[in-house]
Amino acid sequence: MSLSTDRTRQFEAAALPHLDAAWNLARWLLRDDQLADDAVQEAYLRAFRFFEGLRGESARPWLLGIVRNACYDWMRQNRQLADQLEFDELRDSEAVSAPFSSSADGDPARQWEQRVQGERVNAAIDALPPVYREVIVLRELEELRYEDIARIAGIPLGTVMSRLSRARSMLRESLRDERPGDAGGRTRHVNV
Amino acid sequence: MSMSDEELGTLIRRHAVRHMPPEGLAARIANAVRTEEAAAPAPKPAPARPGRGLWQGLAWFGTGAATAWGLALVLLATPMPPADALAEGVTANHVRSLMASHLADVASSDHHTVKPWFAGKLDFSPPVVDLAAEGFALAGGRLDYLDGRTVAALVYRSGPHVINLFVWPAPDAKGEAPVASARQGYQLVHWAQGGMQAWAVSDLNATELQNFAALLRERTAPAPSPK
Repeated sequence: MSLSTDRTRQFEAAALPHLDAAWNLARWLLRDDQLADDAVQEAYLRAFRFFEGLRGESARPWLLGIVRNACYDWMRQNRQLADQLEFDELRDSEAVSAPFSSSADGDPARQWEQRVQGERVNAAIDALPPVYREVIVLRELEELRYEDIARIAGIPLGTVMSRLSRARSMLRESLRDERPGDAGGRTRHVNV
Repeated sequence: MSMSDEELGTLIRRHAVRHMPPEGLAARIANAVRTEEAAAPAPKPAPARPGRGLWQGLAWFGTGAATAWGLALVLLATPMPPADALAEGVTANHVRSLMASHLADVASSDHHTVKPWFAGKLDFSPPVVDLAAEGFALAGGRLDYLDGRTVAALVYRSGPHVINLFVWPAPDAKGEAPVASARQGYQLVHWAQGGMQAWAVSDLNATELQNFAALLRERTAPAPSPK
């Protein structure tokens, strides 16, 4: 039909497949479902307005960059409010860890260990400052290339590497006694 | 002793949550995008935003320049046909009239009120008929701007649907059969008759709008029309 309808259709085809990644990033950055919801929607609208800016580039880093900016905009505007949200974190991470435990093997001690481990890892990532948290989420959970992370965060490649390295040593610090029980484990991350 | 990067990565992937979007978010986004498209049909290329790294700035600049260049090429190569530009304007005026809740300057279902209202405001006298009996009630009129001039906008209602009918003098006296088109989900019909050109636009379905146009043409036909 008309050009404009084609435009919405093209946009949806290019952008909606990355909604999972967009949500995961926003949810980790803002640490709240409602805020992430608002930020992701706002980011998609911004992306739609500037859709013409996307020509022959991979939609994923482009879109995630806009999502990231929307999250940082919110954090800048609501710094105080964001601090008050922290106490919800423990409850949230428990809630989302639960399905993992039930899918582990039947040994209650092992289940408990898994669950504690999950909480510790989530809490450790949560405790990172946003600029370190985002590189961990993008690299370890979204498994993006360093070049894409640089693009998303708007920083040079070297800064991606140094932030990742710093983020990892902070994580090691807070997980000091946590050794992975089985380094060769094939289990992937929780995909609720 | 501490974990290698690989071990740490494995630990994170095993235990960290990958949050999943709530059900219905994709649908809500698609909806918002379509609403946005209907409200602001003319897209602009992305402007460079301040406060980013030079690298990013350059990337944006490059994309912007490429877009502008591409756009210029397209614009130069394919001048918009006049009918297309008009259809764009008609649709935009229609959308604006609905959004601004500024449908009518003279709100009346009486064509004896609406027609004289235009006198003195326009250098022509638009034909005004009421089609309430046929299901298209006249709701009023206002001035609008199209094709580089002030035009008469007549507002009709059919149930919950609004029809904007734009009327202004045709460049030549020869008539023109109705031509239907669609734009941004709106139906359009345009024709010329009796020295006037007319564009009707609505969210009515195509058949009903064409029916509306046929009725209007019949009722405003010049010369030997049975009154």
